[in-house]
Amino acid sequence: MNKTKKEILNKIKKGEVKMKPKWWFEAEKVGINTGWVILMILGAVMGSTMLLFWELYNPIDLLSYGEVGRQLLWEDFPFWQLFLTVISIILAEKLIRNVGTWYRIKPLWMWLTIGVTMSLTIGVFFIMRS
Amino acid sequence: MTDEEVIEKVKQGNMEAFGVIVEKYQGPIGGYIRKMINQSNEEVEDMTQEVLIAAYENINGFEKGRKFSSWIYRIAHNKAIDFFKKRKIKTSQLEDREELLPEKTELIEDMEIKKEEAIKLREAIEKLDVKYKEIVVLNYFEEKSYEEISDILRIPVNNVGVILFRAKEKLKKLLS
Repeated sequence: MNKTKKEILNKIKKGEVKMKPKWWFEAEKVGINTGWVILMILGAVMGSTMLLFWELYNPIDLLSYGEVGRQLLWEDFPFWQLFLTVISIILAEKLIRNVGTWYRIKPLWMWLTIGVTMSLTIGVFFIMRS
Repeated sequence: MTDEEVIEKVKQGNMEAFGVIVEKYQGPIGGYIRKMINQSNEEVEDMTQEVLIAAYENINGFEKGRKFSSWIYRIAHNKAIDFFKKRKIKTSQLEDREELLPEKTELIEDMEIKKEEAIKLREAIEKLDVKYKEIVVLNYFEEKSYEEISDILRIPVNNVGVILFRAKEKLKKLLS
């Protein structure tokens, strides 16, 4: 028996190295998927707040008022919502990239995911608007 | 008996079956780590053992239908990346060791260079960034298919070809 094999099997027999239980991986998977869904919903809600802001303030129109318009835009701009939108998208992408299997997703599924997220964003936007 | 069948035995509590996995993968994983991190034999042996132990600890996370060799290479890849992160070094900053990357006719043919330039090619591979080096190592030295590389590095299959093409372009630049 070679040295490495002997050392590894000894560690296993002594209980120094233990198999993680199956439920641990199941829980991890549930955690990842739940986290991803929460982040996507957060991104969609925050994204729709940005859309709502755009519709209420019309920044391009506001900027034509010069200094007053810029100041009003600066004071009321939803920085937190923008920050949370960007952060949730980045975190969701990182979550999937590091632990998920996104690289196996066929283009059709990818477009479907983007489509569902965008529909959700627009849906929330219309609910908030009404 | 296939790897997947052996893994099922290990999952059922047959510790000795894991010895079969150790025997089979110790060499290839050690070779891959050696080419990636370019360090002393002791360091390579330690990391190989860490990979095999991590494989045992996480064996219940190995899903049926996946290829075991890709799964264990993924663990080795993660360990190599951790090594670079901890040391905060790029492969180009590693010390030179001889004969770490053996001559590979296929790569030499692909690069359209003469056999005499193989040593220069080996040096050039050492200078590549990890992102490019690992794909060259997996494709030409570990002889992994695009699908397997995609599984190991978690990148879409189409990107494997693109990164490999860029790696060869970079190698050509380094050689010229």
